[in-house]
Amino acid sequence: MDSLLQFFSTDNFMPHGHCYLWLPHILWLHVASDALIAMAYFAIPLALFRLARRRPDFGLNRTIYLFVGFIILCGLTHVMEIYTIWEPVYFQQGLIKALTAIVSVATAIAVWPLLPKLVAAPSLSQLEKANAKLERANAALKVSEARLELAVNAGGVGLWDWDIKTGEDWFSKVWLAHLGYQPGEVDYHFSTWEALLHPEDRERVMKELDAHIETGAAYKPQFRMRTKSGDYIWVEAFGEASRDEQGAPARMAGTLIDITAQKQRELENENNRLFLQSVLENVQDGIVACDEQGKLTLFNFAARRAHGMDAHEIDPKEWCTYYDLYEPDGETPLALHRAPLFRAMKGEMIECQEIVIAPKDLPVRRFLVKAMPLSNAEGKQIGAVAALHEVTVEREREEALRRSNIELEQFARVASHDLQEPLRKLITFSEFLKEDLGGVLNERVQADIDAISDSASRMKQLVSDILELSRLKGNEGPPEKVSPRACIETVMLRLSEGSLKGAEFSYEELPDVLADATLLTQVYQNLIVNALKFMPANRRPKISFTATTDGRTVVLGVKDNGIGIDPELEDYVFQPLSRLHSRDDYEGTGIGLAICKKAIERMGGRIWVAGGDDEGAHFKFELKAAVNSAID
Amino acid sequence: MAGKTFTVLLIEDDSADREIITRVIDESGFSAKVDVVSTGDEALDYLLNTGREKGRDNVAPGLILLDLNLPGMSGFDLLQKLKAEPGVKNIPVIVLSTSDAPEDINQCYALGASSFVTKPSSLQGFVDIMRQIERYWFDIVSLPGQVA
Repeated sequence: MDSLLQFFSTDNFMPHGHCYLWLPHILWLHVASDALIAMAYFAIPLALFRLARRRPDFGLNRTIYLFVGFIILCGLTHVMEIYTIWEPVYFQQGLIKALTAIVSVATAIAVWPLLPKLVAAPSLSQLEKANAKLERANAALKVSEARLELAVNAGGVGLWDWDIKTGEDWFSKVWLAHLGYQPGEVDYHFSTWEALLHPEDRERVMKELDAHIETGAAYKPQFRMRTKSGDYIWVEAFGEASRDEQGAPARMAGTLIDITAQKQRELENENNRLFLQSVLENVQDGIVACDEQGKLTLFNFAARRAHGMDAHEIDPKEWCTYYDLYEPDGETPLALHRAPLFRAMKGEMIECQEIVIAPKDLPVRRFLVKAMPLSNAEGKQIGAVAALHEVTVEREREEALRRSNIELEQFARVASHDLQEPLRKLITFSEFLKEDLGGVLNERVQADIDAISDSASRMKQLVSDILELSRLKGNEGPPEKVSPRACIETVMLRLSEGSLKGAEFSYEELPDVLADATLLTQVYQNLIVNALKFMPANRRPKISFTATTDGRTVVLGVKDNGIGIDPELEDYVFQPLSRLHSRDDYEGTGIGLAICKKAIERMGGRIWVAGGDDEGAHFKFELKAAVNSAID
Repeated sequence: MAGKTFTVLLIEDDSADREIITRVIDESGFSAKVDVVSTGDEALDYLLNTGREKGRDNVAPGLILLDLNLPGMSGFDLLQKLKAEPGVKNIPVIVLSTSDAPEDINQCYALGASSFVTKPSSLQGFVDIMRQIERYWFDIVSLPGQVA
């Protein structure tokens, strides 16, 4: 113990100030310098300590703490320098120096391995540059992300990401929006999606999903999903699964788009198609269409009914024989180049062609066929279509009418013959009777015989007029340019001088008309004869031929100064056998005007009468004008 | 013209018409002998000396007056048959008809009729026509019977 005390004893030493000879300027120079150094040495560790605390990321803590110790100890040695000036505790000072030495060496050793690390550490400017670059990349990424989000959102593309192992399923905002949900409103799990599937679609979609996960077959199903409001929307999903290192399915992600509108259109298209099909099937006209190769693409119910069978795939060359097509005569088989659909296929437009379809064991049917080439939107011909309008009944009716007309004409002829014969005999025998009774006759007998003869004559005239009416025919050709003036002149030649009763004729300018010259002459003749007939005995007949025209039609007229016709009786006078006057006053069978009416109507015109009792009668009739001899 | 040189065959089924025509022929001073038959078959027998007329050896008439409206075989049919018979086809046939239908007229000429006459309704008209027939056929033209 003593030796230990002796060890710390200062009694044997003199203070260090003696070395400075207690010279104040040397002494204080050392004291001040050491004090400042010590202060500085104590201040530096404080800073280092704070740095270490603040930036643990530097990873230099242990080294820093070593530094801190080293510098504090250095500081302490300087404190000891000052203290030993007055107190000679050289042993304690040596101990501190030794401690400082140990820490210094340790620090020196620790610094070396750090050196390459510190050398490699980026400089501040380097760091700034890197930082700027990072910031730029970051900004670019943000833009690109925003762009992607915008595109995905704008495109209405919902995204989903399914962790197959855990069942977690992330749905994007758009995905949720399609179904009417806000983010966070649903459980982000596979079961959420599954629950929203339409029950009728679930099995099919699950099958497709399983197939994709197992075999990698494409997963692109269309199905219905229930929205928040309970309605269903049509969606199309797309997804692709990925596998972990062991090859087990791990994750599947993809898209989901709303295709309700598209489905709606498809539905509308389908409805339109069904509507069209239903119309085509129910329409009475046969509709047949083919593509550009002649393959029949449409053969509706009426077509099947007409042919007694459905369409078959046969070469167009066989069409006519296969489908039993004939010319209108019903006997000549239709040649291929005459088949309407074939003609249309070759680009021809057929307005109206009559054909006969006569399948074995089925009634013969007649059709008017309209056919035309079919073109697509680009104007390229893609086939042809033909519409068959059945006219069997109409044609039969026309034929019946034609036969009936012939029969009627025959009847009229036979009747006129058979009716006239007895009348002729009545007249002849009346005359024989007069002869047989001798030259001189009792006045009453004479009158009786005359009455018989007269009646028979009148009846004969009637029959003959009716016959004329029934026979009325023109040239039976198309209407031609006819000069009314020429027709009138023909009449004048026919009428005898006596029958003209010294009449005065006047003519307006009579434009040419489209007519049948024979019929028009007949009309003028009857009207002139009528005008002369219905004339008071003491009046000089004045007959004028009138005309007005609007360029398209011509209204011709025959005006007289006779007894006139009550306009109220207009309809009546044109009926056959109608007479307004007693036979004692004016002769006539009442056929003349009926013949005029029939003739004018046959030429497509109309006839009427104008004018009151005082001014005589003015018969007018309208016919088509012959403009530059063009017939439209 | 000397005597009744010619025979005229009248084919007419209607008794009244037969009466009228024979009377008119008389009145018109027709110089021919008139034989009358009432049907087409009788006419053929007469002309071909067959059937009832067999062995009678009728003199071929110089002129035939044919009524169109006959019972059974019609006037048209008969006309066609007459024009097909070698010994008969040269005899002029004058068709007498009540009808004036253009179809009838055309058909008669087509079948070889020499004339078509519509029977007039007045007695005087008929007499006039018969006179003209006589004058034309017996005075003006030469008939096959004359040659024979």
